[in-house]
Amino acid sequence: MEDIINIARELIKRDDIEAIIGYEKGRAPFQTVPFFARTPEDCDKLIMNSLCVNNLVSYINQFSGKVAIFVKPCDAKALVGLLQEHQIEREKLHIIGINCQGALNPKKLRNAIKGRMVKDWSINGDKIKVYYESGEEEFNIKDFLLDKCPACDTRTPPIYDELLGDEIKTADLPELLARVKELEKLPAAEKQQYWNEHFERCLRCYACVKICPLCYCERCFVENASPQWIDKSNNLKSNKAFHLIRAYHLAGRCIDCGECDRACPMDIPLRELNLKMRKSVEEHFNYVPGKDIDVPPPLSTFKKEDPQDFIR
Amino acid sequence: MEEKSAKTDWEPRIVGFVCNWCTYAGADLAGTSRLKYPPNVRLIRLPCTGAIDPLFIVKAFQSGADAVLVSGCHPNDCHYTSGNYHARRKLTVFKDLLEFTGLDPKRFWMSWISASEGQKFASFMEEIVTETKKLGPLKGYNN
Repeated sequence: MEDIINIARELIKRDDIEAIIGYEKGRAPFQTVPFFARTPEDCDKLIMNSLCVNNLVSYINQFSGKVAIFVKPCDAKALVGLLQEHQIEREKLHIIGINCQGALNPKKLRNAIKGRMVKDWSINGDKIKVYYESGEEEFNIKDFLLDKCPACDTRTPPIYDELLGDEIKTADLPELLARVKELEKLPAAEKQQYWNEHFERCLRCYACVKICPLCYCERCFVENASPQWIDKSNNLKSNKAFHLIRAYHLAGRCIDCGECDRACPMDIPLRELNLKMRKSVEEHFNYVPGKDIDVPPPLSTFKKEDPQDFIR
Repeated sequence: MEEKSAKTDWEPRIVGFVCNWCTYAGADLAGTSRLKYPPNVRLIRLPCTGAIDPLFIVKAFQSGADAVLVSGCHPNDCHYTSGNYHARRKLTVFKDLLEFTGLDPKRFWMSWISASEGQKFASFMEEIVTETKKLGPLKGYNN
């Protein structure tokens, strides 16, 4: 924690840096919230731990000047996507890379404390300590990881100006696409039932759209009134259309930060749709998002020899 | 929907999104050559397959199409040089998504049919209608 505060204090003294984007402790238990430090005193509030889950790159364009930003590998992958699509200027960024061994799911933790009042919490190594009104309890971090984390192959950000700590290599990961492959094996009718049941529950609050670092259109197709693609009312027909097109718009772009999954109040498995798109793009066009700024996104380019087995 | 499928005289409704320069002309040739093909196909003419947003396809299914066809110029023949290549990429992944969410693969078709392939157009429509009749009315999109 000392390091990030020292780094931030040095950076904010520079004339060219308008703000530092990081995290501070939130008011709810196990909550951290995005924080913009503008003065050296602000910097003392900055924290960095495995409960810092929000993807911060969505906030960059709120600033006109240069900003410094703390990025986990997920945030950095989203940055790569935004830089590829020319949504952010590289010169206006100072990127401080943070290694990540997996982030915690605050929902899972809140379930584990069984409604008791939490006074405070702290993270030390691979343990999280929870202080109640009376007594305390310790949990193992690895039991509370977000679904995306165990299979993640990026522990060090793919892009940074300075990195805290040394690069981390990974090995022996569980398969990322295991769940997608499982779903693919279902007969068509069961797939339809599985998804329609999920789509039916959707409230269309658009939290998944708002939180997604790569959903940056100023006007979303769901807002369009002429033609109106999606009903204003909540029904399976429109929910399904929304989810299909949302997932399709992220094909070859979604970097699997899992923020949509985390933001969804109805626990709709949005990541499964996104991962299916990731698999499809990798199979057909041999492309994995969030790695290389200089390669154009797969759906904005083509090759003459692209596969076309299904075309007659 | 249940009622509809119980009717023996149910006829499938096919929506075809076709490009102005190749497949629409191909369909025209099928007509002027007096070739017979089933009247279940409703063609929607667009400037290019590259102009097809997957939203059109979802909308067609929602509005009662039992199968959707997208057809345009052969690779290298696009009037706008590369529209069909872009369409190919986009619809390859979108087809995967439709199948992943439970659409039968035989309800979404794509083809390259040129202005001189009236015969191919007629026989392809015949095939789509036959296959769709086997599958019955589409469920799960428009309720």
